[in-house]
Order: sequence, then structure tokens, then C-alpha cells
Amino acid sequence: MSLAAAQGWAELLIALALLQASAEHLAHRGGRGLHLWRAGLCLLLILGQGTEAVALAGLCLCAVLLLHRWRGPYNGGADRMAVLILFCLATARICPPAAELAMGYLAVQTVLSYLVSGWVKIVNPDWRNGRALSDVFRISAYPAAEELRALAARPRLLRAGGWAVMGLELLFPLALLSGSLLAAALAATALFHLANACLFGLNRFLWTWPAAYPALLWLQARLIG
Amino acid sequence: MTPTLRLLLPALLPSWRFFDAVGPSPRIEIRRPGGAWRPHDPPPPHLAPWQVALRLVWNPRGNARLFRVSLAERLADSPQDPWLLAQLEARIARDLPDGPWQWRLVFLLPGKAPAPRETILERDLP
Repeated sequence: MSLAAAQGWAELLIALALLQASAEHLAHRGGRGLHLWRAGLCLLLILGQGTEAVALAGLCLCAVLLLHRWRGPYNGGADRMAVLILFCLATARICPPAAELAMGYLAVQTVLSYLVSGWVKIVNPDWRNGRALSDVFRISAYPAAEELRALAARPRLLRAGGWAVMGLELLFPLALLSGSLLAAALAATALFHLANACLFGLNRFLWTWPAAYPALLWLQARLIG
Repeated sequence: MTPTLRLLLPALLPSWRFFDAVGPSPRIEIRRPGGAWRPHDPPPPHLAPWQVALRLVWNPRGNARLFRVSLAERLADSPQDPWLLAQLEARIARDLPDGPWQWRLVFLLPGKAPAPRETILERDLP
């Protein structure tokens, strides 16, 4: 994937992700003014036609104002990733000589998001023996429906699930060795985010993380081909 | 460090330590004065496949619930923070009919079954 294509696709995907999030806020009475503005900027970004730099700069400003509004990210990791993607894309647009650095930084951070997540789990014995995932279903506030808490009583399933996630996250960096391996890994991580959205209601992760995937596809082609 | 930088740096230089450990989990409970405590806005008992699919693209209530969890976790570290209390109480009151209500913040502790509970805060809803 070329750098221009990676930027284009990432801009489209993050605009769609933020448009979806803003629509939810507009429906649920949270910070209407800022979200109307953000939705408008997302539409501007989707339209393209030379307005990308302005739209991205506006979205970065919006992101800062929202961080102040909620004294941090509204939706934790998903919002933080969106801020990272926005600032990298804005840097790439506004300062073209720094585009490769900005997109490369985004790609590296995306790899780290999986690798570090996997590492902090595998060094924790509660994750290795399945107890952590059991606690997530049993007591955490995340399960999207109360019936899902019954999964806490299936230790073998949860241990296998935990190891599958840790394996995917820790091995993810190796996917950069080939284009087809990376495509398969990105499909697997997208499925992982889909599972989290279904089980825990974390739908914003599902739309936000793939917005960084074009940067990975570009970096893989750039470094290894 | 300026407030803006303090808010931006965790996003631009992330730690990515997702779920490194499962800690105590907050629950908000409500009651009429003298009545029985019950969970505030719990998740639904069951979701049909079409509801799960819909929530992939439309989940404002679920995301608002997650934000309340985030506020509750922050409140555990700063139980007297006026902004946190105001944000959380406004969100609790929004879903309730008029009249006097009380609310409390309880944490379920991991490791044992049934999970031990610890009440952090109990207040009248303004």
C-alpha cells in the first residue's frame, strides 16, 4: 500500500469511527455542541477534495477540547487511540516531509498496542491460568448482558480463550514479515475487536483500531515489501 | 506540565497496559430512603443476536454506562472530588423519576466467589 493510499484509507476509517461515536453522543445528550462540530469535520474529511488538512486540524482541536470536557478520554482506550491516529494523520497532512515519520509512528504504536497488551497478560499468573478472564466475566462491569457472566463457570474455555488472545497479541509483530501474513493477522485482530464488541459492548474499539491498519500495511510494504 | 499536555501525553505516548490485572469493579446502587438497594442501570439480562449486531454500530447507552464506570473508578481514588461527584450524580439522576433518592458506590473484589463487596461512598442524590 502506498503512503498516499494509507493516509486516505486511515482518514476515511477514523472519520467514520468518530462520526459513529458523535452520533451516539448527539442521541444521548452528551456535549452536543462539540459533537455537532466534530460530526461536521468528519463529513469534511470523508469528502476530501483538498480539505483534509483543515478537517484533521479541526478534529485534533476537537479532541483536545473533549479531553478537557471529560478530564480525560470518555471511552478510555478507544478515545486515546483515536487521538493518536488523528495527530499522526494531521501531522502527515499538514507537514508532508514528516508524513513517513508520522505514519511510521502510528504503525509502531499499533504493533505495541497488541504486543504490550499481550506481555502484561502473559507475565500475570492469573491470565495464564484463566482466573483473570473468569473475574472479567464474573465481577467486572463489562459483560454486555448478565447471562454472559455464566461464562465465568467455564474455566477450560476461558483458559483457552485467554491463551489465544495472548498468543495473537504477542506474535503480532511477526506478521510484519510478509504482506499476506499481515493481512491474516489484521483479520484476526479485527475479529478479536469484534468479539470484545459483542461480549463487552466495546463497539468503539472495533471501529477505531482498524483505522490504524492502513499505516501497518504501508509500513510493511515500505520496510519489507 | 500544562493541563493540555497532561491530558494529551497518555494518548500520544500510550502505555497499552490493557487489562494487565483485573481489579475491584464498581457498581452504582440506588434506593428510595429506607428502601432496598438495587443496581442502577444494570446491563440487560439477555441480548438477542440482532441486539448484539445493532450494538456494534449503535450503543449510546452502553458507552454511557462505561463512562459511569470510569467516573466511579476515578471517584474511588478521589471520593470528595466535586467535579466527579457532580458528573456521576447528574448521570444517575437523569434515569430516575423525581423524588428523594440515595445512591452508593460499591466495589466487588476479585479472587473469591461470591465476590466480597466494599462500600466506598453513600450519599443523598441532590
